[in-house]
Amino acid sequence: MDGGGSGNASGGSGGASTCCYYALLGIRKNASATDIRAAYRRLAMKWHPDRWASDPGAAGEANQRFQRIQEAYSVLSDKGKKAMYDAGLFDPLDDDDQDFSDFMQEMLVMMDSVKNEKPDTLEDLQKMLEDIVKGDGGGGSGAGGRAPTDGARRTRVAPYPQPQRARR
Amino acid sequence: MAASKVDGPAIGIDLGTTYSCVAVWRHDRGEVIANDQGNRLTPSCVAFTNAEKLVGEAAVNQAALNPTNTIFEVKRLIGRRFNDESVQEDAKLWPFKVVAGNDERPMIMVQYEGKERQFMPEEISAMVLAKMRETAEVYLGKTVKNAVITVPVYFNNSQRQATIDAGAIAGLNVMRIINEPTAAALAYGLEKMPVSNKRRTVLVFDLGGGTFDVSLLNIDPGVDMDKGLFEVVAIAGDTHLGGADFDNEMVKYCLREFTRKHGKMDIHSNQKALRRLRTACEKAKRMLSSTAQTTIEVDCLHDGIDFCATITRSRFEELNKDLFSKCIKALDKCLCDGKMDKGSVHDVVLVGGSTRIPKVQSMLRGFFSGKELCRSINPDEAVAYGAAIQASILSGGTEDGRLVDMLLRDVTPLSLGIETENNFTMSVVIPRNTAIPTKKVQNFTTLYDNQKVVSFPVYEGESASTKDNNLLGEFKLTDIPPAPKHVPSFDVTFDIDANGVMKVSAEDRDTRRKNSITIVNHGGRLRKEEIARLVQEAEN
Repeated sequence: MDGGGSGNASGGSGGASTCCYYALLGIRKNASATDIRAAYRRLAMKWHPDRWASDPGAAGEANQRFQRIQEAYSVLSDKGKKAMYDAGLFDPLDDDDQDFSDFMQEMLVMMDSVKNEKPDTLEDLQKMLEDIVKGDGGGGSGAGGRAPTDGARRTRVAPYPQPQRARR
Repeated sequence: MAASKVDGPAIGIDLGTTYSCVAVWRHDRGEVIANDQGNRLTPSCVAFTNAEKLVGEAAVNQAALNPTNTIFEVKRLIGRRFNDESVQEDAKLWPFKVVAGNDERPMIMVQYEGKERQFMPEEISAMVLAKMRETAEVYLGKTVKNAVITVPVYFNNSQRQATIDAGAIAGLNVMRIINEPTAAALAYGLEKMPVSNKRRTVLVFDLGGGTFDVSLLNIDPGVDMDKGLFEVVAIAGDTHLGGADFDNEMVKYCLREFTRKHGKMDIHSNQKALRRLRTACEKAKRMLSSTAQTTIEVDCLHDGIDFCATITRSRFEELNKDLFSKCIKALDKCLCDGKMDKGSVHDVVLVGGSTRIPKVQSMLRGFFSGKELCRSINPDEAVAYGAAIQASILSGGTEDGRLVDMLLRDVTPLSLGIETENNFTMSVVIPRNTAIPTKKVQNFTTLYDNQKVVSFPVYEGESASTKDNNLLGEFKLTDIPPAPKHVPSFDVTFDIDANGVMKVSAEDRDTRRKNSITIVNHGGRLRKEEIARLVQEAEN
């Protein structure tokens, strides 16, 4: 992977991979949207599986790298998800929780429109977000509990309950 | 499908509902190949007679004389179930007979070489593909084995797999299946897009003979035009909407006119008449693209009665207003999924023969507030051209040693997930329009105390109920240690490669026991031995 300082020593916060998304893309934490886009493009061109099709040995690794780059970019290119990620609150398993991401985006718009005397520090922002998250209920259990209609249904599964979700 | 270095030229094939097209990337450019009649488009039509099998123009030319044994629009059958509503509706309009085969497959019944025969849709498509391959081989002067074949964006797994099977029966190694508007975007991005270093957002509107697709892409050309990154942002469409449907509405209109003038007659049983009427309607539709009014005339249509009707462009538009409305709805959906407003689209690219219909163009101009539409690429050929580009990429270059350095990032057309609970709930793991290759993990748990077995039925589709979605496969984990419900945890991983081949695996976090399934051949479709047999038969 291309080198590039991660800027801050805060790798691994919230990300599913062992490496933080900024390091994966080889950019600094304060990188602009344009920088993120340029980095993504460069790495996508380099690691796209089609480029390694003629080398089956390398193709597997290229595929994995491309997937990680793709994941990092899909988060950092979305303002809502990026804010959550920066605050250490982003969980890839919540990827389908688009409502919260949209809510974050609205929050950011509101905050932009408020004329602050001084900008909040990242620490303040993180604390604020943690309070918001705690304020939410843990979410209802996914318990089905309905009687099975036949024997085969005894093997069905349910989504894992929210409160017991394991964080990596 | 093997995306690896291969021998010989690799071709791109647009296997269309009504017409097919073949192209190859050679000498730094794409070339669309003409068939033995000198036409760059070949009818997707196969006919059977007492003596021989005919494909393309030859099949069309004798259709009026042999309607029950002339097969067309087989793309509307491939990969579908006999009981599909659309199959049942289409079968009423087709002169050839469609019956139920094994595993609910539609089978086409014909008289061939003096006896009754049944063919699978894959076999008919294979005959068209073989014709396209032969066309390419004659032109290139060498054997062609490798191909990229295009499909509509909303073809589901069964339809895609059936298309691959058809390629195999035709003796082709299908390197990749790509989406039709994505292929068109490759052609547009390489050849026709305004030269610029800036990223452009392109909307491809692909209305062909039988399918309709909208694709929203970002094209990032970089410094050199041929080092582009094509990202599909969102797709939408209808696998059953196109020029053939406009023809059908006109046929229905003419039948109503004929009945009104000449009283109740059972013309539906007269297949020769229907075929001639349909041909006349298609011709009239084309005329209406350049004139405001035309006549539909068929001599001696039925019981010695001539048929003649005048149709105006506005009546044509009225007859098909529901179909045009479907197009607009898909446009809205695509832009909404892509989280873009109309103003963000730089180029609107028209692809597919039916985009020549004036109403389609005016409707699009209206939707995009007067924006000029891009019609610089040939709408009939762009898809095959783009497929040839992709074929070149996957070949690792051409005989000239030149590598087309363009990469395509496509998306999943349909949501993928697992059936959970006991009420047919679809739990989506990979939402539609997720870029591929992709890998996602989601947690699941038991429903009952001391549950020992968990099953994972894998579905694709947009409905919240799996009843309306497409089952791709199922597997189980067994011997789960006893525990209260909702305590065990299973990590389910969906891993989709660049070819759209998906592997679904599950692991029990406690026991680390794993099981998985690779969704390549859906149960009920062709197996390898069956394909081998069909290849043998196709060579006779």
